[in-house]
Amino acid sequence: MLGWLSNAALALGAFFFIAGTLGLLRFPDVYSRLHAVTKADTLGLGLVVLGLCLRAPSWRAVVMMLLVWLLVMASSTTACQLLARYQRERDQAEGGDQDARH
Amino acid sequence: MPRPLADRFLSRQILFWLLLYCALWWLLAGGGGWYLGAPCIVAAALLSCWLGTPAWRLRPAAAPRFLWFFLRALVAGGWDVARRAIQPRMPLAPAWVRYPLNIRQPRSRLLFASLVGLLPGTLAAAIEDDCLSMHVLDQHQPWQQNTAQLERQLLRLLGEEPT
Repeated sequence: MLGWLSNAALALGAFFFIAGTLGLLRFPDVYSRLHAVTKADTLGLGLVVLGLCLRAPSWRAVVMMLLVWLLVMASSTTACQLLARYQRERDQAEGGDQDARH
Repeated sequence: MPRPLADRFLSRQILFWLLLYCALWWLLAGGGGWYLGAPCIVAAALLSCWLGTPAWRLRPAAAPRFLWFFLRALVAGGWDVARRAIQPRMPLAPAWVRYPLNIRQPRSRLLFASLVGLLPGTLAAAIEDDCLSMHVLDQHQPWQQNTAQLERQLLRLLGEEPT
């Protein structure tokens, strides 16, 4: 039972990773791509961690994996914000008088 | 200035950081290597105090609701963006929007801006004069409601009163 649940979580996690990568390749601009990478990958990693937690040999491993997830989530959301800010400032500088809200 | 410095180091803060780093070391090293860990723990705790990072004051009573809300938003956000990426016609209607912030503390604002990036279809880019500049993936989504809900939940968790 646990094994099946774990398999399902791992497969779902892989699905979200693939979907995030698809978004990264297909979406038209930097910002939309950032959406895909941050959200889909965070959820994908979360599901992979969940799947592995169900198979974990000890509580220590579970807490460690959750910690890894938390750190990756923190770094990816922060990096995503910084990239968006950088790109926006560049767009605004290039756009000149043209409003950069597009 | 020996006096304020001493005040800064000998506080409940340092106890908090020492405990936290001890737990972290135990977790990562599996209860071994304390001869290496102890100096690192002390150094990290002193550094944390020196940088003056106050510990988050969370309201434990509000944590389960926040966690539930956050996990639901995370799943909704991931699913939303995955769906758009996979559909052949790729339904996107991106736009830049501004959200007036109710959160006052700069630190809480940064946390909020990070969390906004995990909600369905929103992405924070900058905080400009009490507004959060966000990129939305689809402007027809109820992004305003979602963001406001997250803000309320976060204010409740941090014990800050909305102004």
